[in-house]
Amino acid sequence: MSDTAEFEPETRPGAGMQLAATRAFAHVTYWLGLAGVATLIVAIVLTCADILWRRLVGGAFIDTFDITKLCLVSAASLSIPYGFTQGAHITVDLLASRFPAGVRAALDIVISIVSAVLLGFLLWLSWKAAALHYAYGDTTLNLRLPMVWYWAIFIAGLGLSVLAALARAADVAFGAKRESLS
Amino acid sequence: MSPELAGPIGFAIVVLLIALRVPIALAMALVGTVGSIALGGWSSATYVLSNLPFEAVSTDGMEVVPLFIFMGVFATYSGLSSNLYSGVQALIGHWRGGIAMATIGASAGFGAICGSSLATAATIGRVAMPEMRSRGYADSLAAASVAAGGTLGVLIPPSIILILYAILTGESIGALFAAALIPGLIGTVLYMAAVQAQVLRRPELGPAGPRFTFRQKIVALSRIWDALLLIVLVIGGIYGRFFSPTEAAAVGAGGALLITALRGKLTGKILVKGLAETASMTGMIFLILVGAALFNYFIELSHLTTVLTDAIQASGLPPLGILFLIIAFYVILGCFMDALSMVLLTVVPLYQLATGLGFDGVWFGVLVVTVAEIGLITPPIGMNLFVIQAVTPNLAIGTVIRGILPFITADIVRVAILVAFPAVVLYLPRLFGF
Repeated sequence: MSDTAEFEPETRPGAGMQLAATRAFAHVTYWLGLAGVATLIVAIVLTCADILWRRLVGGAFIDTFDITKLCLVSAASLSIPYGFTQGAHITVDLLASRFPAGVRAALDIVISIVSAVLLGFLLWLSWKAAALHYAYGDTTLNLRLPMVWYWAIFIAGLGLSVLAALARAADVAFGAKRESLS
Repeated sequence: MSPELAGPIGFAIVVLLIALRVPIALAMALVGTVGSIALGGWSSATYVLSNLPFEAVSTDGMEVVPLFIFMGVFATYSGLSSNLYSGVQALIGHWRGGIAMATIGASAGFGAICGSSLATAATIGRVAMPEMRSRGYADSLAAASVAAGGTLGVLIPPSIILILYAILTGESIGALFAAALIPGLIGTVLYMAAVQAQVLRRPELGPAGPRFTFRQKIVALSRIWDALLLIVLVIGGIYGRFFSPTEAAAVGAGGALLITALRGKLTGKILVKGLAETASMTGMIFLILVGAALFNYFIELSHLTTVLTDAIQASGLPPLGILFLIIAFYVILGCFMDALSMVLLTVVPLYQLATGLGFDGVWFGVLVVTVAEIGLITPPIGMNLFVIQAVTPNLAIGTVIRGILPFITADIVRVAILVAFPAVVLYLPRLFGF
């Protein structure tokens, strides 16, 4: 069967992580994930205020577009590493479930390391792109917010995702998750 | 390797990686990254790849995704589901099989707030399963009606999959939401008919429940005003062009949070739990979006759509024949993959193919999501089957599967209706001027 975060994910920080270091790291991703989606409340309040203002007073209350997008980037970027530490990213267990526990653990380690390498590569590429935006002094169209703010949050999310994938590999390698795999 | 071969091979590698338990998002991202560099060359491909992941999380209009997730999560915590269930049960619960039908009606109503199939099945299942068991309903009918009812959340607006389809294909979210309403209602009626067909044949499966007095009905219905208000604000706001989809999502999310607070359920613990659940689902969806963006760039470089179109032209099959092949492809894939990943993995080339054959893009989107719904209740991977088993004590998965066949039949009838009568889908978007 497959698993997904959609159905009652284990939201306890550190769930699925058992080594002390990885548990501490899971707490970091948990609070950052919460902070990321908490920015949605800012987007909700501003958007609702803007709607009311336009209806009652006329004209824009504040240009919400750039701020809403900043909230989106924060929510999305900081949630991705939290998804890793929760094991929330969707997998389908078609072949792996038929393998012995040791093979599954080895496979899990390889998958986690390859994921970290891939995410690290994307992080490097994104860093280069962000550096370009910074060098050109790119800003948003309306509020003139520096584009590098958006990129910095995204890059932080990618960096944490690399660490989260490595933490998962460490957990499995040091046997912390082996029991759950058998 | 020729680009024409690279597309199908890349797709096969993604499926193999997924089968080996690689997270679907990373399987798509890995093949997309490596394949794009192989086909596009290092400097050109890495330039595009350096921007794609960021664009995937910051595209205009994408705000609706976490906002509607937020709305669904807090609507679940607010307890709206049990009031919706009681309201529909008060109306039709006294019919034979009526409580199972009320379950489906409540699922449709909750789907209009929640937008997630699994959350709808889990939330309604917790309320409905104990009630149906206490009224002597067979587990097979009770569990299957919850699992099937949950799928309505995928299609009935606001639907997360339809939003993502709109963003990936450039179709209008409002048009898709308008288009999905009638098919969603047809699905509700057909599922209710599937319950009726079963209890007509075997009345012991769903005995009649107690009849509510007129006063009890009024009381039960009066408790769903806040749920109805939220649905009317969000969906009516989009249909009536009062709100943009982003504004409607913000109003819905704020409304769900307000309702949770007004019902006295917004404690600090619930707020943190709700935010954590929103973060978990948001992270899951956005990583798939990043993976899909990278994979779709590779598909673009491989000219897979052109290859498919050429192959189809050479086969001499009529457009309707191609459509049946696409439907069969989704039904088979849906047996092994979840609906969201399946749609994101395949929709760009198949959308281009379908619109190239003259099919309407909005109609195709609703059809694809309807077919993807079938996968949610089809063994061996039908996730709703496992969700209902997980929230119900002492329920064997075999029992759920035994009861699901009439509902799959209802889905097939619905797909046939959508194919035979596209106006069923396209009437409302045209009426609302999308």
